[in-house]
Amino acid sequence: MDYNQVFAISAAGMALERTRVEVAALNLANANTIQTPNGANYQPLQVVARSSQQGMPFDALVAQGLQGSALPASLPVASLEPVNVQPRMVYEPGHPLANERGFVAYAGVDTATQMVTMMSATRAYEANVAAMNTARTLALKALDIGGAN
Amino acid sequence: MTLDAIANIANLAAPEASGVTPAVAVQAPSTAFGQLVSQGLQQVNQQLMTGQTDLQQLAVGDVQNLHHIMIRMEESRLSFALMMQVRNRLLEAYQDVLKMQV
Amino acid sequence: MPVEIEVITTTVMALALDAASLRHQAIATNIANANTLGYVPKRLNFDAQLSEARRALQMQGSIDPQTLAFMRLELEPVLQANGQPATVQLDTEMADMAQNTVQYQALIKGLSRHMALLSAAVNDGKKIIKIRNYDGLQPSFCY
Repeated sequence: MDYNQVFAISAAGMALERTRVEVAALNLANANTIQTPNGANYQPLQVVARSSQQGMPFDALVAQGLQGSALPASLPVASLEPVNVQPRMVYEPGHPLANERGFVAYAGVDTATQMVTMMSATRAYEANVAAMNTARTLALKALDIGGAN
Repeated sequence: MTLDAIANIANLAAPEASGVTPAVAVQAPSTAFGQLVSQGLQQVNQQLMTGQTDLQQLAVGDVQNLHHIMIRMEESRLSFALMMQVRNRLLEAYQDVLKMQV
Repeated sequence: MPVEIEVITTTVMALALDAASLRHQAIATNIANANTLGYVPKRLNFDAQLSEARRALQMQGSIDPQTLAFMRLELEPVLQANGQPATVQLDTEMADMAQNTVQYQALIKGLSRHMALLSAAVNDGKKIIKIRNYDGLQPSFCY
């Protein structure tokens, strides 16, 4: 365990989870925006996290680690991608932006999914914090080898 | 800085291997006991030098295993303390011999 | 007269301790100004000067004392990948602070062991050095 690298690993995980929470909050804030007459609508975003190390199967990674060389840390890399959903149609005939049949097109943001994403991202963030605290405790305990003074 | 402890062993026909000047020319001891002592001194010296290099690597920052450094430092401290005790016993024995009435 | 390796070790560890304490000041400043408008987080640029020292350490087993004389500790602003000044990210600062804490304590522990070994040599290994624990209540023996 490279004690310099283990904190960077936890920091990358925390940054990813924070991005996920921010994106969920953005989607929730835009949940009631209406499609304009020229067709522009809010497409909810989602965070797609990929490992930064492509093309290496898991058994090759394990074999490399067993041979004693340091495992290259594959840090998560996040990208924001829009989700193609149909807008949510609500019947409001008196609305100024209703179409010719009386329906208003709201952004297709699924509130329940966003809330669940936010909760799971919070738990994952706490897990990353716990991992970082544990790594720091382990390193400080290693300094006590040979007596605590 | 030369270690005072090691300078006191010079009268035992063992080559001096100070922990700070490893490049000093040594005269080869002729007895088996002298060779034993010189080998022990060189091992302790090697461990001390490794400890210094480890500390410099820690300061510069390219350290992968913190526990290896701490283990090696503890080993070098113990071997140095053992060498000091051996040196004390040898000195006591030498002084006992000197006190003998002829 | 060539410089002794123990002098080099003590000097470079003191320099690394200076860098660690300055880095902590930078991190604390960044955290305190996390919500300040227009604040650019600062970082220590010590690592860039260490490449020469690392190379000498790999090849000779010891750092060249001439390299140490020209090292300067400075704080510089953090820039993003496109050259724009970055904003304060709290979890990045916390991770840096954790790593800096471990580095500082490891340096302190290594330096105290190094000095204890030298003082054992100076005292001929006979004298018992009493040192106190953190709470100052009970003495413990060093050698």
